[in-house]
Amino acid sequence: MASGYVLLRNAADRIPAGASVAVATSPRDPIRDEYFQRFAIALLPRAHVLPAGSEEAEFVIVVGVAPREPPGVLLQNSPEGSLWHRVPR
Amino acid sequence: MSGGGVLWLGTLLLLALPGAPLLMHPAFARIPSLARAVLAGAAGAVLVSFTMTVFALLGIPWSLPAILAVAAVLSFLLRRAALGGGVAAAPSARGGWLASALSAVSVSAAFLATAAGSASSPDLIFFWGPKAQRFALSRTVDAAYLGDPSLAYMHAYYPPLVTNLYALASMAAGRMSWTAATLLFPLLLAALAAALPGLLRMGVPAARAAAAAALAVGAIAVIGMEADIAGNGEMPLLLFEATGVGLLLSPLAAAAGGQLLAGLMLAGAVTAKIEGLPLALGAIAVWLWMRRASRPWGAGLRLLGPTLLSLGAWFAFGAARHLFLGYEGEGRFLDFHPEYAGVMFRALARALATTAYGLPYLVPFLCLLAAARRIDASAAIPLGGMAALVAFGVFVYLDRPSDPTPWIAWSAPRVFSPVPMLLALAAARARAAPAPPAPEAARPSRP
Repeated sequence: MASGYVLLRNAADRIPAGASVAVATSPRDPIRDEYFQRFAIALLPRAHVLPAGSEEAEFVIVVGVAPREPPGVLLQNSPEGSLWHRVPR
Repeated sequence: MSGGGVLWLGTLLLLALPGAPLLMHPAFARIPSLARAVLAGAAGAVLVSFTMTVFALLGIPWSLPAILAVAAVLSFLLRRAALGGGVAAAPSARGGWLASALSAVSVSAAFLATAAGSASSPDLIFFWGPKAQRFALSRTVDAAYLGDPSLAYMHAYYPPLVTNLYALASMAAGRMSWTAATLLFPLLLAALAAALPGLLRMGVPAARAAAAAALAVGAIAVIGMEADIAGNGEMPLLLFEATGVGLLLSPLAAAAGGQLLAGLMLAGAVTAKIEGLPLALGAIAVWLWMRRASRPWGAGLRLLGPTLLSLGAWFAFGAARHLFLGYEGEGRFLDFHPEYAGVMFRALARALATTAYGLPYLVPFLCLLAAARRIDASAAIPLGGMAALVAFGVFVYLDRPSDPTPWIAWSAPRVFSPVPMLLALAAARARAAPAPPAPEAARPSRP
């Protein structure tokens, strides 16, 4: 859990106020997804936090290994996970 | 900790300002100075939180100067109510240096555990902190946020004092400081360690007061580290409960001022966490019962008034915003399941026994047992509060339609964390053992 916490804290500066964001684990773990969503609500107070897997989120934070299909443009990559900006379709 | 964190904590020191007008009243002149300073901060916290709740209810945006100013006015108004009170006897001289050293060790251990991150409460990041920082950003209790169904796990109905004060500090610091919030565990424990011996010293000899305070502080430190209370509502709750019950046990409680101050401290407990309510009502009920011959209606009003007003303002806010009408449990209210009683008591025994081998509960209990034959009737005040808290805990664990074991495992050590402190306060009321007859008196006098 600590690695996800660090990732979210570091991502906070990159996500603009009012933007929507979703956090997902990789590989997917629904229980950890729920925890990280709650962490995101705490650590990204100016963002609009959506459930993991939400297609509407402008930003996606992936805790763990980078996903096989990139969810957008990579903004930040670290051993803890990655931050992506989803390109509007 | 960053500069923002220091500012966050420093803001909470300002709480003593609105509390000062009340505590500087001559009625409280004989409270030892350290205890008086802590009580000023605690009283200020209750008044500030009440002001913030009323502002939210009336739709007035929060601002630090306005909140502090209104709370200070309330403090002056209460000061008038405290007129005429006085302390019958001066407190005994300071003493019990060994006990004070033990308290210092307990506080240091709590500080080290918190600084190492091993006492942090997950609830801080799940709901206490997020609610507070949202309220700080919104400059009010954000009803839309509390009403969001996806945030139901944040318990909208939880009483407001902790989130209000965290929001106040976050407004001043510009952000929530998670580290600073966790440090409130050792800092408020230190405040309790500073205040409690002085409060108890007004009613019992210094050595006994210091020993009981050290026992309470040590037990809270151990439970806090084991049950991870840093940053959640537990430590403010324990501070208010210990000072409130300590005041009820002191000679101050015989006068209007002392009753009002005890009522304020217990209102702080009630608005810090739900568990504060049964404890406060239990302790106050016993205090009033012991004085029933004098028909203590005014005292009852002074003791219960702050709680009624504080909780009334919060429930009025909940009702006005269609959020809640009172406290909510899990499932239907009074959906009592006694068939889980055996499971519940076993789980309870296991949860308490595995908290530092049960020692924080066992040692104060044995101390009380050792003092039981010489115990003062006033020991019934903390024990009444304890009985009400235990009955409440048993009730909520059985008032749900499923096996309460998992819930008990992670909540019982915290829910029952005031028990050792109350046992220690009761043990402090033991009278000194009668001195053995002097050898000269035993021998027949010579002609």
